[in-house]
Amino acid sequence: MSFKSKLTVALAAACCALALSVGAAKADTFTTFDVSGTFAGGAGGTLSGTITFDITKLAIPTPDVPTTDVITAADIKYSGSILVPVGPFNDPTIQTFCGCFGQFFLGDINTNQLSIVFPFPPPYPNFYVGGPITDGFINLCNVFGCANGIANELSGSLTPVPGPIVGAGLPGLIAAASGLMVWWRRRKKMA
Amino acid sequence: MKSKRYLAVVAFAAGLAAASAAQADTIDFSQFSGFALASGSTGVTVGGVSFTLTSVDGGGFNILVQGPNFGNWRGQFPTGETVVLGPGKPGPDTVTFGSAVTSMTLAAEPDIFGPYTATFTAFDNMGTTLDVESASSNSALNPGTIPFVTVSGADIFKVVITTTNDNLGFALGGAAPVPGPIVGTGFPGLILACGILLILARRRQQIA
Repeated sequence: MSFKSKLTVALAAACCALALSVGAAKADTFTTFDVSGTFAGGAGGTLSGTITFDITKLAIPTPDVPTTDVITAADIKYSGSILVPVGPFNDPTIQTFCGCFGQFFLGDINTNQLSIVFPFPPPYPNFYVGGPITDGFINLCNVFGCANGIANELSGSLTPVPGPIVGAGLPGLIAAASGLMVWWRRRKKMA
Repeated sequence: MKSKRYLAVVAFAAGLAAASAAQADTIDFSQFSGFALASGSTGVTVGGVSFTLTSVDGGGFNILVQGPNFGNWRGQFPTGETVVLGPGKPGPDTVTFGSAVTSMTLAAEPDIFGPYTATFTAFDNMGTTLDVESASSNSALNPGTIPFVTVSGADIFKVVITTTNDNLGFALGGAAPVPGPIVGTGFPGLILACGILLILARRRQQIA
């Protein structure tokens, strides 16, 4: 292998590493999760879909310590299917996610602990790193609130959706291609 | 002597009319207003007896009206009837009376569509079971098909209501007052009394 070809490989590898590292760093920031589980309380039922919440609404966490906090229902968006028995008054199509006192709990059913570990201290508290969040505590309530929650105690998992990887990785690839282009022109000039 | 006999006849006639007027008492839940009703709230039966309504765990009730729209009770009660929906969890509702009643007619429908059996148990003030009555039906959007159940006993002080299929609780409603039978049964009594009075008057005339 010639010196030039070695340089080419090294540069390409560096660009790829740059692209991947940028993408990987961004991938740690999750706001969207796949959710699936079974309601143990109320009428029972199942839930699956995508849930999005603003992680910055959480209190600034202590690094490497599972966060204990709640997210209000207003800061949560959900799309997917809810299969819950229907009755004369309860109807999933007119229900909303809720929690007692207007709070929406994502966390262990017993401790209400949100199992998200933030490895970085402020000002980087919003990077999510780790495996799935389990035992999401999610209620589905009627118009009168949680007194007549039609389904609750969701037992299942929230798996982070790595959507931001594509958006963040593309600039890295563009930068890598630009670098290759510059190197190729210099090589041509030298030749 | 004759006046005593007249008085006895009149008293008998009045008693007969009163007995025929006695019918199963019920509760008109439209006496409550708003959306929420606390467990332990008090009211008055159609027959004028005070009562207290309590839920399985002290949770509150919601006041709903049978109707076709979301937000109404879309079940089996007669359209327009006011019902109270207990906490969204299994367990009985209890109606405790301020004084004894001899019968009570109510209906219950669970907040999950499907087959169910509603059971009403009447107790006296010592906690002795006086009567147990049940009715089975299918919870559905089918107004006017709710089976009303009547429990009877000499001194009912408490009625406990349960249903099957009650994971989300159930709604409780009373029978609409039906004044017809009171007149229909009391009128023959009055005719009978008048007839006896007439016979007495004729005998009196004959004796005279």
